[in-house]
Amino acid sequence: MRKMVFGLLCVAGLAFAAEPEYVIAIRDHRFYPSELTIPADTKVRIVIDNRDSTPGEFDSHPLNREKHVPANSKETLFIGPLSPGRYAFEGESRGDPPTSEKGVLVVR
Amino acid sequence: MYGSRFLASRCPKIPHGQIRNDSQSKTPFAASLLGSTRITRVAIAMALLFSSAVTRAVDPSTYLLLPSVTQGEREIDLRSGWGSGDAAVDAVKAAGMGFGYGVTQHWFSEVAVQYRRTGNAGTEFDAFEWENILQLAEPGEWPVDVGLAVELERPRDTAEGTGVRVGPLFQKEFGMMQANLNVLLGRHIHSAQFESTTLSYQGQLKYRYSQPFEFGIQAFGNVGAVNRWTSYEKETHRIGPVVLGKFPLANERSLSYNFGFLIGTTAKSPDRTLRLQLEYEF
Repeated sequence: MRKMVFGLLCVAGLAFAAEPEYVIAIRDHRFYPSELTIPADTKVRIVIDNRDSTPGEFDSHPLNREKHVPANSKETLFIGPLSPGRYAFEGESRGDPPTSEKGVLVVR
Repeated sequence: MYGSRFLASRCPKIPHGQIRNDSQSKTPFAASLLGSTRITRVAIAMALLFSSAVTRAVDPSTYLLLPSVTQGEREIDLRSGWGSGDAAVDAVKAAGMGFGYGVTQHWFSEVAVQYRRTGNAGTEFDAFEWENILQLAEPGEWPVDVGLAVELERPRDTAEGTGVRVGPLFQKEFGMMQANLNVLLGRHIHSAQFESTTLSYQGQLKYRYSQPFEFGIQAFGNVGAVNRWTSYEKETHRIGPVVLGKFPLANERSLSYNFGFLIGTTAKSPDRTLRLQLEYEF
């Protein structure tokens, strides 16, 4: 019984850890890269790395995600599986002056 | 916030209304005759407990709770609703205002005041509410997004005790479609009137057509006490179309709306419910 539970936990762990990981950095209120390509029909993990000293944001209606990223910190998003296409996202900073930046997720 | 809570149509938070027995609102004359003595309260409580009319008035400003949380986001939430009346249920108008804050990436908290007008009675303060949403995982991390709602309500009528409502919130995306299902258990603690734990649900299926315009169907219901199932006709069930949307404003601010028209499917449900919610996020 213990072996079976352990096996199930291992399978579950692999299932949750298997996503390909991508990083989008925020520097000077801009996304790097501003266009990121990911595979179709695959769930991916995207780390938003905000290297600014002000809070940043990743916001996308097509992806149904909104994430505030505190200054000098990272946040993780889980996206997909998605059909091929282009999915726009944008960010906003409360800096002085406030800025807005756009990007796109290309799914192939 | 996407899938945002706003669009959420959260139930009258511990639906004061949902837990309250309808017959309560129909006994003010008797209460005034008897006065506000302890005997009167006991008599009314007994009458409520043993009443065959176990209908629970629904809160027309009910809204859907969502399992997602955005840290640092503040919101001012205005909601109102109107439920039609007939021989079985009183007409009810309800309105509320709340202030919410995303305390962490996984915890959203909102305090609110709720007002209510039943039948021809005047509008009166109904309850203080404290709503908490716990996001258990990042959206998309699990096959189904899961959150937990924990709500407390302090009704104006202290004899009702403190209302508590707890339950899981589920959300699943299918492309541009989004499905939600919430199962909530409600109970009044230290209440002289209500002893049972009640079960209610909220559901939604919507198409996220565009940010300013999404549409779908929402449903709300209360199946009554979990240890004493009533017949379907004595439960409250409402379902109907909803339109929702969000308009981004400068400097990370936004205005969201959520407008629904619900049709009652049982005798104890309002035939028609109109509901409007506005949320200013900043």
